[in-house]
Amino acid sequence: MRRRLLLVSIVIVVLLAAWIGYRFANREAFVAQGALAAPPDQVTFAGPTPDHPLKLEAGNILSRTVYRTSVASNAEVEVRDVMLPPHAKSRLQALTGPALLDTYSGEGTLSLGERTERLAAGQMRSVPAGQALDFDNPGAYPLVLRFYVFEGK
Amino acid sequence: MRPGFTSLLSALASVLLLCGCSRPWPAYRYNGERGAHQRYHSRLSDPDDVTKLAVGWAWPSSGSEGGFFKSSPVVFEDRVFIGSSRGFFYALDEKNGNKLWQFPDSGPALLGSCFFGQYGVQSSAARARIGGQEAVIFGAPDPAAEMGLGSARLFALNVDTGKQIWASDVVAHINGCTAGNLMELHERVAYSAPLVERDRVYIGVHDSGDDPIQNGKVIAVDLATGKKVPGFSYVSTSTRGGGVWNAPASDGKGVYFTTGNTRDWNGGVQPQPALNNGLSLLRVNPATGAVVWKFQPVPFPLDFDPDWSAGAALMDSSCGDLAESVQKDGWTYAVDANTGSCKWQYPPTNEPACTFPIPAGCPPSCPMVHNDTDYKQPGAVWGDVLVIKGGGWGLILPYPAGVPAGYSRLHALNSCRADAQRVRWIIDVPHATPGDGYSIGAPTVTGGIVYVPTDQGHVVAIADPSVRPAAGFQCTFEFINPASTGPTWAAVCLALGFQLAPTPRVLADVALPDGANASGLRNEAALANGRLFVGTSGGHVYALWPK
Repeated sequence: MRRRLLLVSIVIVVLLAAWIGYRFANREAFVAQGALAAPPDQVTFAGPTPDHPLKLEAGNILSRTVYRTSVASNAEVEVRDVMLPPHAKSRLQALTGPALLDTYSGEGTLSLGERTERLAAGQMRSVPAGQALDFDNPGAYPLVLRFYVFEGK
Repeated sequence: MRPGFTSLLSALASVLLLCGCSRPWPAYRYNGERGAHQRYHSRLSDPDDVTKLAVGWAWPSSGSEGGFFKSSPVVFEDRVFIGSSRGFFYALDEKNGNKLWQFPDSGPALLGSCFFGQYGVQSSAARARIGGQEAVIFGAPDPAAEMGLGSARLFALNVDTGKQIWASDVVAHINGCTAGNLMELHERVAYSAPLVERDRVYIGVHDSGDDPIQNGKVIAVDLATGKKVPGFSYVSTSTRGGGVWNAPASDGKGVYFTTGNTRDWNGGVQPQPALNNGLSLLRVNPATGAVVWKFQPVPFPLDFDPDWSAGAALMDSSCGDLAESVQKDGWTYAVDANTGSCKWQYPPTNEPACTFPIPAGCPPSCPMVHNDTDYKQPGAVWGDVLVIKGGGWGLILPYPAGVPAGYSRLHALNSCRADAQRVRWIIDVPHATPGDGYSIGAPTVTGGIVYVPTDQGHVVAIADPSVRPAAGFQCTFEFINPASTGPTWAAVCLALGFQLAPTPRVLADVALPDGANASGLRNEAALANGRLFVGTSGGHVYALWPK
């Protein structure tokens, strides 16, 4: 009887050890549940600083000159990108020459004096010189515009 | 105790222990779901161990194989299987890298005589069981097929001996060698990988550099015989286009893949074909090939060759079954795997439908936003997180800015969160050439540690911030940073509708000895049995593990 009890105990111990070993060998790697904690109030920058930077202007407008060149002795062309913030009205100072306006991404409106026109991605239109440009971007994302400005000297 | 009983106990314990020790990587992207996730714990999922990652062995140990490895290793049965551009398929000993066999072991390499068929074994392999034999299956040109120009078959080999079990019917035809010839077939299986699902094997068919563009196909062959399944048919268009440049995926209910462009061939813009499954993420019926749904975010007039080249990664998420991928233009998508409806898009410029509108005046005047750019690598799935090379918010900027800026960047995206919490982290991978469309391979993941090979011959291990604290933060729109917008960059970032995202910590950045490109087009680091395996264009296969 004692011999049988011993045998059963040994079997149980061996099986238990094997099972623990099996579970240990089969344990799954960590998988996160849920989102990460929100960033703290003060954050350290650790990102890239890409080429072709944008510069910050008043009203949280970002802009850059992509290209500027003389096309004749008395004329220049400037290619300029402008990014207008979401949920906001923005004013751009009068352009130095007439321009083509290419709405690259986003949606909004452009007001020139009394006239207001809708802007949608992929559309191009002309804008006059010497007149401030009032934009409204009611969307959740920035409105990105490219201007081709033709400036006489 | 009787000796027999003792032996029985020992055997039982051994079986229990041993069967828990094999952690293979049996297919491209790990398995048919193509999630590239090694779910079992190993030293590669231990962040402390990963800092000690180093090269363990190289094959060949001297010299080079002579070609390059654009396929990725698969690992099972203590062997590493990989094919090379020279037209050979190898089995290496997982422990020491010794070559066990090669196929063909004699006779001509798996190369066609025609340029279109000289790509060798670029198709990564998959594990299968055929008639009681453990098998490995891959696709390649067969010099014995048809006219020997490079028509391709699937090959099933015995894993122990390398002997051929079967060579399938021809799955991709090449019947001429004249560039641009519309009367010839120039089909390839180079960028696809076989999907073994139940009693079938599926493979995608594409062309060779659109020269000329071929009609995309998925072919199914019988697993037991390699014969084409007669009741299965999928073609992308009624004319040309819609190449399947990726490995089909499966969740057991459908077969998922993506397709290339349809609009530009024969030297110019063509009318839309009556059947147009191009530029789509699709689910087809695994029995018949019938389209169950297709998701086509870029409409035909805006097709300036943004092939959907990265394959689908399937996610069994806490918010449902998702099929996720990035299109060549850089936009990333998560689609309901059951219905094909868009769950989200990143960047979310066109939600909820996630399709791009056709502007007024188009055609003929259509904006060239969706171009032949280089977001081609499939993502890795880790829980609800998709890790992928995607374009990010930089895509909203015109050239020269956003599109190339993301080529060496990985995004981790929370699939089941709102758009405002979509980005989990972003990192520009070190030792990957910025602006180069082929600078990083396809990520793989285990335990929140992401592995990615680079074009500068490195393997980089990145820790999710839940594993190791982030190195810092960045704006999800990378053009807002201290250099461009000053010390208030974080406030400006939030004011413009973007988010602050962690920059995860790099745990290891290991230079491979040959210094050659390890990213290929979509090369991955296979994670098996606590070791990492990767091939390079320098003709080497490396095994790395923490030392």
